[in-house]
Amino acid sequence: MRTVLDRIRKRHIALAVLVLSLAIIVLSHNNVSSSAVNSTFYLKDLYGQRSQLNDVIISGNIQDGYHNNAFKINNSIPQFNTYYYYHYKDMIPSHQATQGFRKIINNREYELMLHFKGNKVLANIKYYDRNLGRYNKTTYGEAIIQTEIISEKYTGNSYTTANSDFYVITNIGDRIFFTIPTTEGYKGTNGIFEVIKFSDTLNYLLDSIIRQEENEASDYSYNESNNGISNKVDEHSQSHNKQSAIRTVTTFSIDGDNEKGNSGIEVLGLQGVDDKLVLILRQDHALVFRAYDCTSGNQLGEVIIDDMRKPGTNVNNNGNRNGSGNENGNDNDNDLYDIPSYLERYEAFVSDSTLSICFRKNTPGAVEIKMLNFEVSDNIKLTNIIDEVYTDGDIERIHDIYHKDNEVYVMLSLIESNEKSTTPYYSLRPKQMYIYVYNNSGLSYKGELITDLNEDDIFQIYAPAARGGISYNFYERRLFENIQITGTQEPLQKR
Amino acid sequence: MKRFYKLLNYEVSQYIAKVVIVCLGAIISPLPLLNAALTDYSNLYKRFETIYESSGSIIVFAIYFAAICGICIQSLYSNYSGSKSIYTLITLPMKREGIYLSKLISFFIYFLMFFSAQLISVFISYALVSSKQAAWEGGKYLMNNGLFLAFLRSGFLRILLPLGLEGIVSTVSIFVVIVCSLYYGLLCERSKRFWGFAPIVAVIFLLIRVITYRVNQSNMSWEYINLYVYSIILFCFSGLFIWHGIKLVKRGAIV
Repeated sequence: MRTVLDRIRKRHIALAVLVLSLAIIVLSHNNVSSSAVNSTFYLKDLYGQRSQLNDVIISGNIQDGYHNNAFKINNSIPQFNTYYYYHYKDMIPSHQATQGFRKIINNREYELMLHFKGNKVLANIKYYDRNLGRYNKTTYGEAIIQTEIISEKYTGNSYTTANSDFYVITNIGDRIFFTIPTTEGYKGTNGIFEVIKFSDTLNYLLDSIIRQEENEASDYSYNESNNGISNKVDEHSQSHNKQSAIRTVTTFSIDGDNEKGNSGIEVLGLQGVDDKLVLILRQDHALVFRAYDCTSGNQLGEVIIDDMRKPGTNVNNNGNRNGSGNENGNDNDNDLYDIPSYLERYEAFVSDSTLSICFRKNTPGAVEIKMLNFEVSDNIKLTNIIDEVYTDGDIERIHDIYHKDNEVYVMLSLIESNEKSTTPYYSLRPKQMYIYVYNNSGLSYKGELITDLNEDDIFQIYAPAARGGISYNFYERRLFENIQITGTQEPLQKR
Repeated sequence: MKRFYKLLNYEVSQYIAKVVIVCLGAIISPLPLLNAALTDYSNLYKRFETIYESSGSIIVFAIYFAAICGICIQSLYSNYSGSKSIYTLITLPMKREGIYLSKLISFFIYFLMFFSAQLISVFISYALVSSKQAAWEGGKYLMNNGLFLAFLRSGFLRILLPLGLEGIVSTVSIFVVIVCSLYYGLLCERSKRFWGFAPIVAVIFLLIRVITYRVNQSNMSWEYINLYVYSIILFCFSGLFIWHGIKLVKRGAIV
């Protein structure tokens, strides 16, 4: 034995240490890379039978800045694959940064601005390219249309709309549609518009031209300036229109019916569903959902839901952007008003020809949500209304809602509520991911998706209290992104 | 081939004792450092990679890395001092390429030994830190699968043991080009061809760019580069160094 070792030492030492070193390196690599599957990821049944999930595939991602566990729950079996990131651009764009503020369609950020020419309303829709992580030239486009809306209250930069522009810009494939979120103080005829072509020249002079013209106009008689769009603006928007074009898909009146004592119609949003458009309106206590064909503009149907109460006041928009800086800006404002009500802000989820709209309401110690599920085809049909109260915590995010016939699947995350919270920082509160299945508007399954995500906050939760808050870096924590629930029969499609 | 194998064994065996000592040092040194970083438990809530980096273990790695480079330098230069064995070497009845490659491969083996020792060191360090975390207040600081996450999230560990293909190719190219440049630099110095340092300087710039890019992966404003492209460039440089190194040895310019 000794002589064998001696011979190896003398004659084969190079090969021996080479093999040994390589073996250690390869085994280490195998050991670490195979431990990717050791991340906690399983479904815990809390209510009902798991087989309820057999009709759907739930897919999604758990990512931080370095890797992505792309998961799938198929036939009720949760599985995931790990992918590695090398650069910021590899990441799936974070939902958190954009929800409720900026409308992002196909990597372009859209915004809608209103301009006032006398009492006429001009709509200006713009986009910016968001190629994050690369220093590409930013591309830009905009288009302007003069609407038939009459503004009674607003003339300047400060105006109020029923909802932020996030809700009124929508797409069907590459086609961009929008409407004007009119509220009290607007009259006349609103419409649904489609942008045929964007102009890529900046039109930042528009406002000053309008203002200049108004000044001139005030020197002359009132009537003249009221004569529709006047020359300079006309010229300007016409020269602009050579490059850009907006088509009016359909028009609808927003005036109240005085005989019936109805107040005016408020426009809350527009949502593309398949190749249809669903317009979401409010009149008094009723919500109105109207479906249109996106090409012909024909109204396909209407659903009126009566028991929605109107909030105390409207969302105040200054210059069209609601600047609420809090992370959970979706639900806090409502606490200010005594009247229990649902906010204008809602979340919409589309899959194929179904539309799910979810309204939230915060009451002390609980969150109430109202889910409305529609089938949009040649008609619009309300299939389910689900009222649910969550007392385990606040809703952090509703990830997806899918419904088929009378089954509704909801994926949402709850975050520890304020009262129970052990940490002063909202973003460090523990979160839980739940799957709910409703059958005929009643709960039939509830499950929790157990993961390690909350452990990523340990290094900040237990750190000595930092002055001036903590740095929240989504690179350093795993987050759920892009969760989709789809039927097992249908091909997986991107929304 | 047999002669080459014999020469390689001779080259490796000459300094293997020193390399083993360095490897043992690399395995053991981080442990007292980590222990010192964790004595008052005020750091225990941090992630393993943060504790590892802040304990000074990376500085220790750099020192041992320099030591391995030193051993390689000594391995070549000792041929020129004392018995002047370089004359014996180049008169060996074998192809000159074999003489060049035996040395290069012995350098590779030294670095591979060190590299594997460093990996063992990280595993032991993690065992140490996680056992302390597990013992503290019911393990509330312990993260599930923390070692895997550390190899993803720490810039140093990510370069040491990358998990995705792009990272593996990049790390291998970095490793190969470092060894080749070191050897080539020494040959240039011996043969007094100092312009040979120009491509080495270029390689150093490339290395700095690739390594800082990979360390700063979490920096959002960092411009995107394709690691495969850089890896190919580094491999090309390695090939150039080997080709020209063999040429220098063949010409006997290194004597």
